[in-house]
Amino acid sequence: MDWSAVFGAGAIIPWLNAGIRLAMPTACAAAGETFAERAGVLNLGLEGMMLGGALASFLVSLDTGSTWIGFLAAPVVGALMALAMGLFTVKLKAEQVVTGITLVLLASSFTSFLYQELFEIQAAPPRIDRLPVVAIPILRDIPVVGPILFTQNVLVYVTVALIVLVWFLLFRTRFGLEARAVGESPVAADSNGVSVDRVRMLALMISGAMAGVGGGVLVIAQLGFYQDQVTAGRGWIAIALVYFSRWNPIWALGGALLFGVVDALQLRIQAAGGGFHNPIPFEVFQALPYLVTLGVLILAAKRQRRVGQPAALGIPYEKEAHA
Amino acid sequence: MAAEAAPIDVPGAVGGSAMQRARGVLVTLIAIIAGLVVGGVALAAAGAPPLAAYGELVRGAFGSSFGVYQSLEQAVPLAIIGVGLCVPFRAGIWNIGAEGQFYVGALCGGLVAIYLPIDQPAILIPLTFLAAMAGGGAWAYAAGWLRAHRGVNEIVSTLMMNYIALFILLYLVRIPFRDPDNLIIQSKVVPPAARLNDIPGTFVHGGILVAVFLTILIAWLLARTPFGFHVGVMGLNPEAAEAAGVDTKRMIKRVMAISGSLAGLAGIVQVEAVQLVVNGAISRQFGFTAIVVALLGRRSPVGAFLAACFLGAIAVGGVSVQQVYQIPTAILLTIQALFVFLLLAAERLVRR
Repeated sequence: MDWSAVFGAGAIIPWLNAGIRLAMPTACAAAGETFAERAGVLNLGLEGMMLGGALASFLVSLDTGSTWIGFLAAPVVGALMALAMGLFTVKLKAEQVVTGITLVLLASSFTSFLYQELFEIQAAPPRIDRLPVVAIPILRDIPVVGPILFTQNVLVYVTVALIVLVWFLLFRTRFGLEARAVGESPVAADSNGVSVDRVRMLALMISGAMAGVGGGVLVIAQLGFYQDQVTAGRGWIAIALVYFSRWNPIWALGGALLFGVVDALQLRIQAAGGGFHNPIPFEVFQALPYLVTLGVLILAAKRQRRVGQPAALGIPYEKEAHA
Repeated sequence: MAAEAAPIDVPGAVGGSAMQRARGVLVTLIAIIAGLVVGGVALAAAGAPPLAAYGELVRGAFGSSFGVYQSLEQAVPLAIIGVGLCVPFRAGIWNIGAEGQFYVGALCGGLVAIYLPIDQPAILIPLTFLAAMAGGGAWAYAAGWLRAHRGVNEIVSTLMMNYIALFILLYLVRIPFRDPDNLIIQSKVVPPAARLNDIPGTFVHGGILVAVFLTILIAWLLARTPFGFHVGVMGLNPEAAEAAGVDTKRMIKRVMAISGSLAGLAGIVQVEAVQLVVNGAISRQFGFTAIVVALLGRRSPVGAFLAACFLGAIAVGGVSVQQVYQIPTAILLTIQALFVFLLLAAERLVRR
């Protein structure tokens, strides 16, 4: 195989550029998950909410003919799914783990059903217009950095802005302070007049909306089409990133970039190797994102354990129990 | 185990009085009925008259002895995996990697069946079972070890290992263990000595006996042994269990290994009784549907077995519904997941 196509000087810039693009869906979902977990809600439904956002953005784009309107459908569907999950976990105090896993099973089967119902007869699935690549004036002319960072799909900028917004909301606003208080000590927050249920519900919906956006970005900025189970475990990778990033949205973005770069690398190696007769089996590269996630999870856990983990993570809060 | 120690909201947590059990069964039935109603709406939306479609479903699953046998065969992998998952789920350990453990078991057992030159079923089949259980068990044990000694979240690790197991299997049957005489990418066919044939006089394969035996075994293990007691205590309060002298690290590894070995066993049973080859299509999401099975069965082995039979019947009946009304099969998986959601809701609402 031609390794210069992968590691040659001319290949580095497109590779890193693609890495950033590929990082965005996971980064977005991980930032949202961070917010929910900081408020004490473990949202294991993330993968399902990404799928919901991905399919919604695809269907609405097809139906309206506008990819932008399609993109807006993604956070709405994600947040609605989070609202449904919140009714169980926040209002009814059902177990968060069971509810999350069930939501993923429900979403993956329901999106399959919808997709089969709508498109299975067609030989090739329809495509939608991907949103444009926007080169930012002046910045794009910086050598190396310009073509990597500032010549990206418009949704890449939008996603980064949203992640910074989540960080700002979490660490620089009163609502963020309330959310973190609720995640650390719901009893104390409650006695200070914070409505634990309301804050947790909103935090969960923020994570749902961000997961939805992640799914939308995947379909609209990267693929331009939808396929069954399109998210392929990215929601779970995002959950792993939250541990890795010690519950900080900006660090989650950093971790996701690492994944994006690995993902872009494996795609390039596969493409350069020409598939079936590669000396290294292509399954190794296909498994790489999952292997790296596992590795990162082990490394992250090996460092000081549970630093930064919200104290009340995953524990339903029942007022009567503490009255 | 004192009944009052079990918080009512943990589905099938530990033992419980007859009253509580009756309440649990009632709640499950309410959830299933509600699920059928919601599912009926989905069927109507997909263009099938709900009542007629359900009638077709029942006819397909129970209308003939053949349908009943088929339903039982569908239930076998779900029951074996689901019964195994009751163990970690009760202990509050979330093994959602049964899909991967199923693949590893099918692979290990399948290779033993294909390449070991033994033509005595009485020797070969137990060996394949052992290989499959060792493979699936080790795959799950690894995640349990990481959780116990490194604090690695088992939900994410087992999920990642599902993908890794699938890619390992796909590679192995594509290159080293591929059947060169077949255009389809798959292993060689399992020899007759390693096949699980139908029970004489019926059309249902011997795997059902394995499932029944394991249901009884795990039910006994959970209800009548110190190990089962520790599992229950751990599920209710891990700190208290630790304080009371339960070695929770060891327990985590054990519950993972038990559930993994059963998932692996389900893999080889499916290969030796139904598929007869190893390839990437041996599991139709069995590992995930089995999560539904364990939860719908309220984490009790007998409950899981019944839930598996129920979902097996839906799968078989669903095929005739699909043929008659041209409805995608994914709607069945949707209705199955809905059952669990409604069970969660029913449990919480009844408690209020």
